[in-house]
Amino acid sequence: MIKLQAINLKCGYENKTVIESASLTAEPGEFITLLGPNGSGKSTLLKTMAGVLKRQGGSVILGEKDLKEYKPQQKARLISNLPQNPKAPADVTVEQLVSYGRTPYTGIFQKDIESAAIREWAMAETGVLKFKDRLLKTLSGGERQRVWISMCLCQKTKIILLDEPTTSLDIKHQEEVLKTLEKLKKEHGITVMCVLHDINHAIKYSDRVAMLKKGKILYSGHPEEVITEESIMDVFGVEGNLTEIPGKKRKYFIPD
Amino acid sequence: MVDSSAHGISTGLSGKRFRLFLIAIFFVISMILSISLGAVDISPSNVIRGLFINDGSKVRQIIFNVRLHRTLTAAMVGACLALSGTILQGIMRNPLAGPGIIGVSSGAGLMAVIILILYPERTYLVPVFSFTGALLTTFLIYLLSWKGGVDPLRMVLSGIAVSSLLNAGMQSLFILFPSRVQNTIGFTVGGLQGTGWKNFYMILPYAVVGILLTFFFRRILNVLSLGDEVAGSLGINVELIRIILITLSSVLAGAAVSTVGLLSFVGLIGPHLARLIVGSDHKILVPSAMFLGGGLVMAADIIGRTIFRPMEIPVGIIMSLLGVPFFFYLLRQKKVA
Repeated sequence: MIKLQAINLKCGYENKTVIESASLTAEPGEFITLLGPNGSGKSTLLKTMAGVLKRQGGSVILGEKDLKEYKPQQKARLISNLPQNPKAPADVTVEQLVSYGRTPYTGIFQKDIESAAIREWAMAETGVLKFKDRLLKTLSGGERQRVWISMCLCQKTKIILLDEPTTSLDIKHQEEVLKTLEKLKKEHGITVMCVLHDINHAIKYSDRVAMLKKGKILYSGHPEEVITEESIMDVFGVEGNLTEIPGKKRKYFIPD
Repeated sequence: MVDSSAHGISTGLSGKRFRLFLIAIFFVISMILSISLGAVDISPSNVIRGLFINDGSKVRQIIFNVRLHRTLTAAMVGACLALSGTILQGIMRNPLAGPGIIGVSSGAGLMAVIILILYPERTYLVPVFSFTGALLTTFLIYLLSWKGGVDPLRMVLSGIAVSSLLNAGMQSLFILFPSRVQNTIGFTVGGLQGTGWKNFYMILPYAVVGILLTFFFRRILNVLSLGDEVAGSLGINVELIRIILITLSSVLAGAAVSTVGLLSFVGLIGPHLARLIVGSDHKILVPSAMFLGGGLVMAADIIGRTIFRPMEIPVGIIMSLLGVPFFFYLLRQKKVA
């Protein structure tokens, strides 16, 4: 179990700073969602916490050490990261793609002996084992996304970061993807941190929500405490009601 | 790509291995024919006997004094250029990428032309200078496209810009010294006339080390095809690996070009053909491109020296004349993604 922490993190691109200072902790085994309008800095924060984007200041602590102190391979055994719309060669098969998840465990001269067993397991856990020999490009968007998640799972990390994993999927596939992530959290204790656009998804699946606006985390905490009519108005500028739904534990948001 | 994707099932690994096997056979046949055909034709069975049995016969002498080094040089040049292109297309994720794009042709070309035109009495310096020119140009392009990291597209564009600048330098020399242009044609077209064992031994160490290294990087090339961000998340030090691979690619192509001249077209077309035939998995693609590149140069050389016997057409011209239409044919046959 390992904690991922951003402390006074300053991030952005080249000479443009998107986030002046943000602090956020991903406790082990939590489902954390970053919410906010376009351009609020969600993806930037996620990428910087993944160590994909160079930070401009502050620190990212993974476990006991700063992320910078890890060798790339070590880091890749602890955190996996799935960008938005990842690309793969047109003729890559599902199993082949998933097998790339073993990269952090394979050297130029050393073979990863457990590879095949872990690959099968990762595909089974995400429900893509039946597509094993299919070409990735022939699957539907949601199935493809689960294959990518399967690759991350194959990395056997404690933390998975995902940038808008449900964007451009239909509602059924959105649910499948989120249920898959929830399962990883519940059954394997994996910390899941993702950027989502749908407030109700955030309410339904998250243990913690961070709401961003213009590069600042305005609200952070349990969704029932943080997601309120006021905070939604404040962050998104959208009026609406949080409504009790019969048979559901949490209140869901309906815009006016 | 080449897969029976109607059912979404990819051509299995065994199918791809079989295609690799066919390419290897093409390589071997080209090699035997390349030794067998020439001013005096030797039958393939005599070629094999002459190669392996030292009976002091005339056939054996022809093979070892006239033919074999040329064949082996052609094979190695083709293999090096094709691998160079395979690596570049893999790390740039850009179909335009080839040894030309990292300045190998323009760098080697300018240096060679400087020697051939300004110091025609020092022709022996051409290989060393053109090899150095190729490497230096590659690093220049790399530095020019550096901006907190190298973006593949920016590097491709910088490569095109730097290359046209160096080509302008080369052409200025042609204009200033019109009487000496003749000297440079052999190099700028790319040919195997006059190759000796010396040329073969010159390229051998680079080829052997370069090919071995490329084989070791096959898995990493696959991971890099997923993009910088995913490759980085999988624990690859993308920037470091990229500069290593660009250097490797420049060494492979530079060694080839400095031996036989500007033949780098093979480095663009060879990998594409291989990709069309066996797909993009570098485990199979790397050996396929190697055999295909070597086979193509040997085949083009056979045609070039037999079609208008006793006159020889440089292999570079044949490569383009036959390679381009065939490439278009394949491009239209299979949908390239």
